[in-house]
Amino acid sequence: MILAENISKKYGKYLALDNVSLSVNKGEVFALLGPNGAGKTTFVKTLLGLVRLSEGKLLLDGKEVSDPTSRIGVGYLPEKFSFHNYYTVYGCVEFFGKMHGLKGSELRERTLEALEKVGVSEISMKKLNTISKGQLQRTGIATLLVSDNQLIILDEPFSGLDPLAIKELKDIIAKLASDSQKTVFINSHILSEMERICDSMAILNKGKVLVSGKMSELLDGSGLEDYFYKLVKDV
Amino acid sequence: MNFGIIKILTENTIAKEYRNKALLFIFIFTLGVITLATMLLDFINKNFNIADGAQIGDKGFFVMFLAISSISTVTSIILGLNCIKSDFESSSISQILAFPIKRIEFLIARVFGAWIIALVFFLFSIGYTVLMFSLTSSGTFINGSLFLATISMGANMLTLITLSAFISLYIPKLFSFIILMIFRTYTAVTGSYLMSLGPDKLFSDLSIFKIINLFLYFFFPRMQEMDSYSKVFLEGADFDVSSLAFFGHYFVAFIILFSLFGLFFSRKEM
Repeated sequence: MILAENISKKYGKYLALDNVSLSVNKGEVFALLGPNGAGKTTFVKTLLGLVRLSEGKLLLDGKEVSDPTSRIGVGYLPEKFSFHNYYTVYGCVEFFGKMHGLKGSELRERTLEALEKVGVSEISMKKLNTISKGQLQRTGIATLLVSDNQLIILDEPFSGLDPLAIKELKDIIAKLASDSQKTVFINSHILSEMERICDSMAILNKGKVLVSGKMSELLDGSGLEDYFYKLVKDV
Repeated sequence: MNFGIIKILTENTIAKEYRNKALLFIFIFTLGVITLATMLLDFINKNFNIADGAQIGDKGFFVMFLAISSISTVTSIILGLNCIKSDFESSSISQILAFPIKRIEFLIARVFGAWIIALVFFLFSIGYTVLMFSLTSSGTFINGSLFLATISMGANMLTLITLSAFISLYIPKLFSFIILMIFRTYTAVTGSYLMSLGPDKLFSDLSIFKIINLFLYFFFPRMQEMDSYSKVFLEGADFDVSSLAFFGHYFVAFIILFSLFGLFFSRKEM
């Protein structure tokens, strides 16, 4: 689904991604872990064509990321979801559905269904600037669920959420993961949530991939936090 | 080109921009000016025993058209400055560009959406003026000349929106507004001067400033000349071969400007 071969990204003299190679298979829940400033968000931005690669090859479902059609069936949730304030919760989710090609009654049904799944049906007619941060993040998740995305990219999804919302988001990810066709790519520095929900991972530090592979094989019985700290500290 | 996506984003632009408070204020202000002008015209007609009321009405309408055109210049700049910048301000730009769309499609939708609002503003103001003037004087206001003048004004509004949107990517809004107003005046003055020189003197006594002015004159849409066309059309001039050549140049220069905008935007990192 995702294939990165020796990719690098420079901002002036600063090397944000340094010769990164990794692959994510279809149907996997993949975690890209690393401390702040490791280059995780830059990697996500290159995946979405928001920044250009300095070197290397990055493919999304076999297509170069510079090709906009590589993003068909891709849903993206940024760390802090925000959209034009005048939209209602319903209107915002509906807009995302439209942009993914949904129309008419299907669009309406899928929008209502997505709002129901994340528990924001009751506030569906409220404007985005009148709802809480947690409700806004849930609306963001609904924008992912409204269409039949095959790849879902979550950038720091647990950041700023209360424990209840974290639990609900984990359930949603688990549900998505149970669909063997969907691939979930999670970019996070919060390790406690990753161990249970991810199949594979890569750890990024200072722009370089330290390890990459199946979670169970890499950890080999030890906890993710201990493994991560030891690895990053050694570097 | 994915026209379905462009349509959805254009609707999104319109929904986003018509709420612009500065635009609403200018709109109300314009309606107020038109109403006052009508009252003044009515007062003159009734109290000064003017023999040819229709001529006064036509002259008054001409002045109002110029006033609305000037106001539309300001609204076009405001809309252009906001149509893409607001996506950055609301942090929604990365989410929109993460959809399977080309950046040029995004630009077309934003500029076109802003242009539709500017046109509606302009046409509504002209329509309101026609209505009010028809009630108070006997001039002929709706004709082919008005149609040609409106097309000329529409072309200038599109250029201004494109240029404003382009500049807003790199410079804060207030400074962009000031720069654009200065640039608009500067190109108007230098354009008129170069136009008056004639072909034999156009390339003589070349200085750095003259080279820059000539570059703008040949490679940038000539907004001042388009304004002049809108005035002469309104005064009854016909569309002829020289107008066709001018409109052709304007169109090509606009395409160059938009392509340049597209090129810079496609290279911009979010």
